[in-house]
Amino acid sequence: MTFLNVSWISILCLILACVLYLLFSISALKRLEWGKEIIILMRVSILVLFSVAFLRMAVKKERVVDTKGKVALLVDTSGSVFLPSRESGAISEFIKRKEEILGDLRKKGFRVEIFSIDETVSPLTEDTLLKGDEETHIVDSLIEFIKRRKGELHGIILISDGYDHSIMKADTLKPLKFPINTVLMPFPKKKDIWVDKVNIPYLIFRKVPVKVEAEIKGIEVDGEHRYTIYLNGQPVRRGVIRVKNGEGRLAREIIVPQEGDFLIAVKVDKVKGELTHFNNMKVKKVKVVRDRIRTLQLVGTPTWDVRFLRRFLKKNRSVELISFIILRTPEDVLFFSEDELSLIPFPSREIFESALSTFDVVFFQNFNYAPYLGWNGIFYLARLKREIEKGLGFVMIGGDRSFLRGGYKKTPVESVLPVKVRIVKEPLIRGRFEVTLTEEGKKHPLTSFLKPYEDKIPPLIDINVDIEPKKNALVLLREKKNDYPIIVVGNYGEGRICVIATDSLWRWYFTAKGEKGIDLYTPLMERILYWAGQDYTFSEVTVREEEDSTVVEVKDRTLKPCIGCTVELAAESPDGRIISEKEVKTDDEGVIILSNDFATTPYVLNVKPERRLEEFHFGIMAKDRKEYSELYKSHSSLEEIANITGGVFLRIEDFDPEEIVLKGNMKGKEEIIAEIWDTPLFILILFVIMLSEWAFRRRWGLE
Amino acid sequence: MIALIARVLFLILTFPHGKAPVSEFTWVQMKYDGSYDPFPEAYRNFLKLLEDRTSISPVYEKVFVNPESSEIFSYPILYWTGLSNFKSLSEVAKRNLFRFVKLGGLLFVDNSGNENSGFAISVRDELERIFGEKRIEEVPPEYVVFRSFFLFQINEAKRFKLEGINIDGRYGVVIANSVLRKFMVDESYFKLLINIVMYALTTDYKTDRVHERFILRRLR
Repeated sequence: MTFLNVSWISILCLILACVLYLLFSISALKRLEWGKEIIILMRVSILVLFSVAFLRMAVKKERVVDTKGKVALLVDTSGSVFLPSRESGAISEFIKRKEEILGDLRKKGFRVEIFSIDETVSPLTEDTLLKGDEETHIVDSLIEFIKRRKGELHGIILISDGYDHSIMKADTLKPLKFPINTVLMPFPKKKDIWVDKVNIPYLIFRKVPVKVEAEIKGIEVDGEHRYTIYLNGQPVRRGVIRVKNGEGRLAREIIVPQEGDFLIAVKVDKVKGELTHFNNMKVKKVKVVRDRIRTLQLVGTPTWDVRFLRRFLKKNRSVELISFIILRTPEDVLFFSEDELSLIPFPSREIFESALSTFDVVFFQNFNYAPYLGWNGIFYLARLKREIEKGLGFVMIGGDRSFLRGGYKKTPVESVLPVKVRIVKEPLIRGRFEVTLTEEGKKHPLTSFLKPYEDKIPPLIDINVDIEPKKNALVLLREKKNDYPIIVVGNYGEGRICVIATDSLWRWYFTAKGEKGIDLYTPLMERILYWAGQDYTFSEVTVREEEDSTVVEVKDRTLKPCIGCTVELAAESPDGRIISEKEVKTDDEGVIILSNDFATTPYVLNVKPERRLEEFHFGIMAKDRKEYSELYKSHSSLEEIANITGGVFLRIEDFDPEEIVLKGNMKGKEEIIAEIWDTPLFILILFVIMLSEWAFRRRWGLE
Repeated sequence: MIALIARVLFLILTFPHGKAPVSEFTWVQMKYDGSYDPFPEAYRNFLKLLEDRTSISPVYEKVFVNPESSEIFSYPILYWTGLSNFKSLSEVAKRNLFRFVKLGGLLFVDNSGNENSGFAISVRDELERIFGEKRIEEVPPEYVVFRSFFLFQINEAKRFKLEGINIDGRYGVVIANSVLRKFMVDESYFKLLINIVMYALTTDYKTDRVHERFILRRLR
């Protein structure tokens, strides 16, 4: 029971009116001898009925009625529905028919809530219908949405172009027991070319050829198309692919020169008028590791230093060694035929024209190049320089045929060395030379291990004095008395170079071990080998991808954390375009943490620490946007979703709300408010009482 | 007492003197209580031929090393020759020689007398004492020492009856007969001597795959 016209004014007025009327009645009925009680009773009844009418007393009732229920209309607003544009993409169909669809639904009794669906489900606004760039995660978003709103909704109508990149499959919707009706917005059939697949193993060995295979697909693009293969943003292979019946295949070999994380991108040139060029490139990340350190040892003459370096390299299981030792010079006279000799021609062409790029480290050990590289000598040295620039490690060891006597002054090799070749009368001096670590040598990972043995470092017996360190070089070990540099390291391009200005380092093994039981040669050569070979443990910059960020660790030349160092960072797209750049300082631990919004698609991170000439490159996969790269792929079709969930599949042009399936038979409760006075019975009763009162008054002589 | 004085004198006289060791090939001969240098000038002729025929630039100095001295570890090759039997080496000398070979040195034993000379017998006994259960065995004719510079056919190689003691997969002791005595008169001994020196300096270089094809073709 309720009163619909309740306010203190209306109640006050009613009470006043009732009191006045009763007082009037009592006064008017004084003359009556008998029957006045009946009339007063009647008048009170009239007052009560009138009050009921005035206060609009009503009764609330609930009744069960058939209802269409609340449905959610989910409209796909991901990037794909806006291709090639808002006006001609799949979304245009919905925009054109939006009011019509909503009108039809409401007419049929549906209560509609409209949402946009792409990576998540959110209320649809006019802005979301202007441009979309999000990925389509229909099934993933539906699962989350249904769990949230299941209790309130009776059904879902999903309008989409059908392309979905969800992680979950359609059958994960079945246990939710919720009908999803799907409506297809037709995807425009337009000319398009795309890279459908790229196959390359995730783990590959550096300097070992690996095949990159790709499938190119297209619509109305049969013919020849140019493609490019990029390695961390640099083009490494170009060619032409033939597309026939919408398909084409390519397979090319590439060689990755260094260890690390690389992005390999296959990109096909744009076709005029195609649907989108966002799918013209596909990116894969590869991890490049070393198999064994491929090492080349070129030797000018056999000496004890050669004997022990070769012994060290052969014994090391992680080394694949190729040695060439000059056993006979052009001046040597032999009264024997070639067939009696085990000597082979020095394969300068094979080494310097074909094989050089396959090596990780090259040792020139007391090697005078001129008699053996022939007329192509300088040309081959220039090739060596190019390979060093690309990352080849180079170790030059002294002796009587090295440096000045080796003819390296004013050659491409001198330009990469961390030392200059000096003209001196006696390039090699003999004696007993005490050596000591420099301040840099005490900290550098190559030689810091020698610190506890400083008093026990065996003397060297001959040293090259025809070199002097260049400006940026690091001298790690020097001769005590005259300060001659003995071990000098430096960088050239991506390559690392070590100069050892003696051929008597073998004594740190044979003599030191024999006399004192210590071996300083093996740990030193190991470090030099791994450092020159760019082993990961000697990297100055390392990058680690984490879930929400990318961590960059920067070290200085002595491989200690570079605290407060200014670092230039650049993100480059897999095909070499700069996406973003910034300059940052490392923190107290030599670390920079990059948030994921530095670049949101796969990119190549270029890191250039301050005062360094070289740049470091890392392939970062970030978030691979499948919306465009896998435009024509879908895990679950709309039809499948409808079938699995018990909904219907329709096309937007045939949309009919009558066919929509809802959750069970919908019965709703309706609240009805019935005002008591607004019934014929009430009016009849009031009329009868009023008539009776008049009749009695007349009968009993009252006006 | 006399023996002690003699030993002290011997050590003083054989104390290393003169120039520091170098990385180039040096003729290093073991000095011991016996006929340790029966052909004093032969080495010089050999070194001359070595320099003329190969890329090696030897040092024209003969160095005598007492195996009791730590100087043995300054030269990774040691030539041990003699004619007659000799007294057993001291324990220090034996230990040094063992370590010398174990660390990668080459002990080149050359019997300068006839096949059954006193030296040949004594040195075998001594080697057995030094190397224990490591046996003296025939060096196979395919072994790298027979192809380290000159190529020897199988029959040629077998002629030398070269023996050795295998230490850690290589012949660290090589035992030959009169190589230094005969190299000037017999070309094959000259070739063998060159090969032994090359073997000392390059070890198994000629077993690398890059040489295999050439060597096999030439041997055929």
